Amino acid sequence: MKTRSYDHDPNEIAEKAKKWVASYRGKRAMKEVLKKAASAKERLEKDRQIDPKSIFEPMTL
Amino acid sequence: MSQPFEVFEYHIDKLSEILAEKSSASLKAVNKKLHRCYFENYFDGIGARTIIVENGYIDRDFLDDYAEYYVKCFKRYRRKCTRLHFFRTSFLSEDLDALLSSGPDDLLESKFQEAYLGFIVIKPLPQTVIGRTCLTAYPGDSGRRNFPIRRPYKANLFGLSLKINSLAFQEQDMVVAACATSALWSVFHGTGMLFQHPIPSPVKITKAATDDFPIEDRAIPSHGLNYAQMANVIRSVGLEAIIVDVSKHYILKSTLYAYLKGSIPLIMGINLYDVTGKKVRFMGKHAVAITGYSLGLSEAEPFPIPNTGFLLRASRIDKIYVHDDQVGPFARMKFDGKKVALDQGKEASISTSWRGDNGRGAVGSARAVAECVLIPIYHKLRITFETIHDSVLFFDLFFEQLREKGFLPSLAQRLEWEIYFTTINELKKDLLNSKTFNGSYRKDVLTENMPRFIWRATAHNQDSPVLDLLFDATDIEQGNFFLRAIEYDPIIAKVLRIVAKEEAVVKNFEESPANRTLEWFKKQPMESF
Repeated sequence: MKTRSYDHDPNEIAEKAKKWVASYRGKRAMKEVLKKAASAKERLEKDRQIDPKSIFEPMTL
Repeated sequence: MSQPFEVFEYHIDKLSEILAEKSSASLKAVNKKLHRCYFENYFDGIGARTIIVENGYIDRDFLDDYAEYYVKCFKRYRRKCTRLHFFRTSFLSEDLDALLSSGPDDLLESKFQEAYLGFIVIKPLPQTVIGRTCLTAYPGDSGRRNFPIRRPYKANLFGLSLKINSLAFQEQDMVVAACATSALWSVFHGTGMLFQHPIPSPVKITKAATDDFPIEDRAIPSHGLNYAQMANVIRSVGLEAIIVDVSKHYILKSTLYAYLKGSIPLIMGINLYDVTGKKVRFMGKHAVAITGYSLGLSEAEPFPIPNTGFLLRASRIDKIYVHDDQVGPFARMKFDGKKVALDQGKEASISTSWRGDNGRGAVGSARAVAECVLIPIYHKLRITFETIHDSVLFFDLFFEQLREKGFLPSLAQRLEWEIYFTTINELKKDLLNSKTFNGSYRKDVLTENMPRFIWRATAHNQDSPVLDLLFDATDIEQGNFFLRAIEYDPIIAKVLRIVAKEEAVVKNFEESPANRTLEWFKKQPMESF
């Protein structure tokens, strides 16, 4: 995705970022991010779960 | 009594002959072993030219196994082994004679040391003859190949002090040790140095595994261990065992990278499948010790769960190196994207050096499906990789929003995260050698008190670090285990510090795993950057 570019004045950039996170769009974007991350985490937790049966199967080769 | 040493020009046929002659195995049995095929390629790769045979060698590990089992057999087994030393230069028996009989010669001694490639102990047994083996690993190839578990081993050859960086390997003897025993034994050679615990011999490992499981099977002869028994052995040396399902390759790569880079070896349980026939055939379960990885892919692959785009350096792994007791040390297993068709559907698989078709197939005609990894960790290491991974994932997605909006102009592309376990000593050594930051900030970081074990998440912009997130690996999950960030880019630092103070960010993220990290940025003063 293309990014917007601001002048490289750190104070100006920081102020603009601050306004954005406090704006309606910023808040909505954060909510979407959290939803996406939570769904990924849930999927990962499922994938990481071990099959209890496999714990007691011997490795014989 | 045979002569104390013999010197031979290296050739794989000569090596097979020596293995047969010095053990109780037939040449046919030696030539049938996967090890022969593996050593042929391996010794060609590392450039072996000469073998010194050290007769009458006493090996501590074999002596333990011998005292526990072989001495009690009716048949008389020999207790002394033979040790083979490998060198990358050519020399004759007279050269070693000269060194031993003509007084000190520092130049000749250093020549032997420089050319040293390691050793193999031959056990005097009928079939399983490869004992303690410490060989040099493949060259690093400009950082692509990584073997973080290696440690120095000393070999004293008639007073000649030889050193090799390796991790000990040995073949299971199928009596006092099964594959899992050999994998555990290799892993303990790594963790023993890192966490300071004694390294048990194979027979002691098998006994510790079966102590609490008396009805599973008889202890000796051993017919194989399961994960629960392996965890029992790990506890017996004072460590804790973590088990993770790694059938998804993203989880396997990220987990092995996180621990291996911190010098913690892992045991991987695999299911082996014969793919020579029309239908895939299950061969059995096997355990290997993961000892290295290759970062062969030029770009990180996005997290496979859709819509996140999260990039981990671990996803660049294209091969792992394992101590597979049936193949050899640092044996390659490749993530080549091939799947095996099983009854339950197609499963991602990894290449191996095993033969399918009951040993008659070509090398590689058996494939591995990863099942679980068992990670031996110090008991004070309480925060697991999964907790850190998820915390960084949440932080990254928020960070990416700021980048996409153009608030982080120095970043043209998405950050690539490297998440791994480290120690305070390693971290500070790395920071002290870093040219990325300077001044009082650097001094503050280097002099700050930190716990002994740390999780480090480094965010890279191409190959330059822009941010380090440090987590206390010894804390508890309910605690604030985020230690601090190290900010290498003043604009990123400023933006993160200012947005983290905004009420909207605090409220949205207070229940998320990234909360502890954002809380730290919130508390940082604006004027210090």
